[in-house]
Amino acid sequence: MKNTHRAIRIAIGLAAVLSLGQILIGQAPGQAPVQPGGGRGGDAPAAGPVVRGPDGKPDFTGYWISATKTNINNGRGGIINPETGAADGKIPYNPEWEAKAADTAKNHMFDEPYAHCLPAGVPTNFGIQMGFQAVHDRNAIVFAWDTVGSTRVIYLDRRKHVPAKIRLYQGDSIGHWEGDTLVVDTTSQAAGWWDASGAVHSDASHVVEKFTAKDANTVAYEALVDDPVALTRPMTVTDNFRRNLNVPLGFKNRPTGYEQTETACIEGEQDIDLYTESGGGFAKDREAASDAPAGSVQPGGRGGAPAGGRGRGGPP
Amino acid sequence: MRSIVASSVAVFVSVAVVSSVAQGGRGQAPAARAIPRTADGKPDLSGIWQVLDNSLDGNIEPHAASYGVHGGQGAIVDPPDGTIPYLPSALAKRQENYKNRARDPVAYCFKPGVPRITYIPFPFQITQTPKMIQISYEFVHNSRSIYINASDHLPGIDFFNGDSRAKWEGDTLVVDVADFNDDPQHPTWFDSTGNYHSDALHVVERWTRSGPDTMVYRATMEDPKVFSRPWTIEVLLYRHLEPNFRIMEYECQMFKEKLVREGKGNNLRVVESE
Repeated sequence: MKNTHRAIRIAIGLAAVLSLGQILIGQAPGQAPVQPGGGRGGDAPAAGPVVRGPDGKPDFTGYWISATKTNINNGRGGIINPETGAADGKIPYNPEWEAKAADTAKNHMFDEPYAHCLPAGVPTNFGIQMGFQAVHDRNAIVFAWDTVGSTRVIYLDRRKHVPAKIRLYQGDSIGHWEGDTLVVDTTSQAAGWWDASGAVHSDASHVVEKFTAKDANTVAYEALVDDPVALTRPMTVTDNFRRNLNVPLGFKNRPTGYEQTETACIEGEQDIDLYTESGGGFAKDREAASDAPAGSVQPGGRGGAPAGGRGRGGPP
Repeated sequence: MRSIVASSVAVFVSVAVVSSVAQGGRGQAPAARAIPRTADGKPDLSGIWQVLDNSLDGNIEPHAASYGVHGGQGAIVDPPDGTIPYLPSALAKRQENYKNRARDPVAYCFKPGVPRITYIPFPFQITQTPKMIQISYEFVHNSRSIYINASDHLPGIDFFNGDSRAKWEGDTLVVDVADFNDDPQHPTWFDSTGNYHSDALHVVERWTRSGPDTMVYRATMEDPKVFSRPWTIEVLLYRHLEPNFRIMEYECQMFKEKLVREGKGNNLRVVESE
C-alpha cells in the first residue's frame, strides 16, 4: 500500500508539473489544453459562454488554475503600477515594513505560514497555490486548495462580519453580486504573508476582491488590498483563473475530468517526531540526555533525524 | 475489577439502546415533516451542521463518563447490543489503542477519517450542487468532495477521509466511501477510545433530511480484517440557526506544537496506567 501511495504522489506531482508547464508556455485562457497522448489540439474551439447556476448568476464550480507567484514583489506578481496601469508594480510598503519584509526574506523564511500547514490568506492563496477547487451554491462559495489542503468559505447572504477582535488565517469573507462580478469583502485577517518570499503584512489588512466570469473557462481576478499599518496606499493585485481542462492520465475517461485529491500536510510534519514522548512528541524519552528539558529535541529520535538536527522552535 | 464494572455498565446501557431501537431508532424525526429542496428537486443538504451528542467522539460504543469524555449511549444501532463486532483477534489492538489513547490521531490534529469527522464536536458546512457536494469542516480545514456522477473510486489512491462517490436513493444521499489510508503512524480511529479499522474499511453513508433543521446520518462499516460483520451507527445532525453563524478556523497544529515545544503535549489527556 505504501508503494501505491508513493506512486500516486509522483503521478499527482507530474500532473502539477504539466499544469505549471502550460502556464509557463503562456497558454491563453480558454485555449484548448494539451490532451494526454493527443498533443496540442491545433485550432482550439472558443470557450463557451459563462456557466450559470439556477439563479442566473455565474457558477464558479470547478477546478481552476491560477498563475503561480511565489514572489509578488518582483514586478511579475500582477500588482498594478498606478502610474502606467501595467501589472508590473511593487508592494507600496512604508519604510518600516519594507525593512521588515527584507529581514523576513533574509532571516525568517521558515516562518512562512504554509510551511506550517496554515492557510495562506487572502489574496495569497491564489498567488502561491496553483490549483484550487470552487464549489458554489446559494449560500456560499467554498474554495479548497491543493496546497496545505486549505479551505475558504465566502458567504453570499449579506451577513455581518465577525466581531473586530477576531482574527482568522483566511479572514472573514462576505460576497455579493454586481452583474457577473462577485465582489468579496474580507476583514479580520491575521497577520501573514502576501507571497512565499517574505512579503509580510499586518493584521489590519482589508481586501476587496472582484471575481468576473469572462467565459466558460476564464475568471478575471482583481484584489484591492489595503493595510494601513504596512502600506503607504492600497494596492491592486490581478490574476487570471483558467479552468483546468488538462486531464492527467489517471483521471482519463472519468465523468468529472480532473478531481482534486486529498492533501495531508500536518500528517507529514516531521517536527513532532523529534520531540520526546514525555513532552507529547514521538521520540523515545530514554534517548533524551538527562540534563535536557522535557520536550527538547534529541538527535537520533524516531524519524531518523541526523545527529544535531533540531526541529523548529526547539530550545537553542 | 475494572473490567467487571465496565461490562456491567455496557450491559445496562445496551439494554437502553435496544429499547430505543424498538421504538423506531434514535434520531428519527417524524417522516411527514417538509424538507427544503434544491432547484433540481433533490433534498437540500446545504448549510452548517453539527452533532449535539458530544459523547460520540469520546466513545462510539455505550459508555459511562471518564476524564474528558461525556457519558453516552453510543451511536451503534446494529448490532442491537450497541457494541462493535470485533473479530476476537482484532480486539487486542483496540485495548492497546485505549492504553495509548493520548496518541489519539485527532489530538495530534490529524485528519479524523470517516465517519468520525461527522461527529467530532465541530461544525461543518455542506455546499451542494447537482454533480458534487463539498463538505468544509471547521476542524483543521478538512474537506471532502463527494461526487454524484456515477463515477468509480479512484484506483490506487489512499485518502485519510476516504474517496466518496454518491447517488440519490429517493430522498437519501447514499455515499460509498473507500480507499482508506493505512499509514500505521497516522491511523484514523472511530473515537478517542481507540476503536479502529484497517485499510480494508468500506463505509456506506446515508444522509437523510428528517425535518427543516435536522438530518439523520447513518453509516455502515465493513472491514473483514477487523470486524466479524458489518455494523451501523446513526447520528442526528442539527442545522445551526444562530444569526451569522459561520465556520471558524481550528488550526489545531499551532496549539499542539506549542504544547509539545513546552514539553506539555501529553497534558491534553490524562493517561491512566492500567
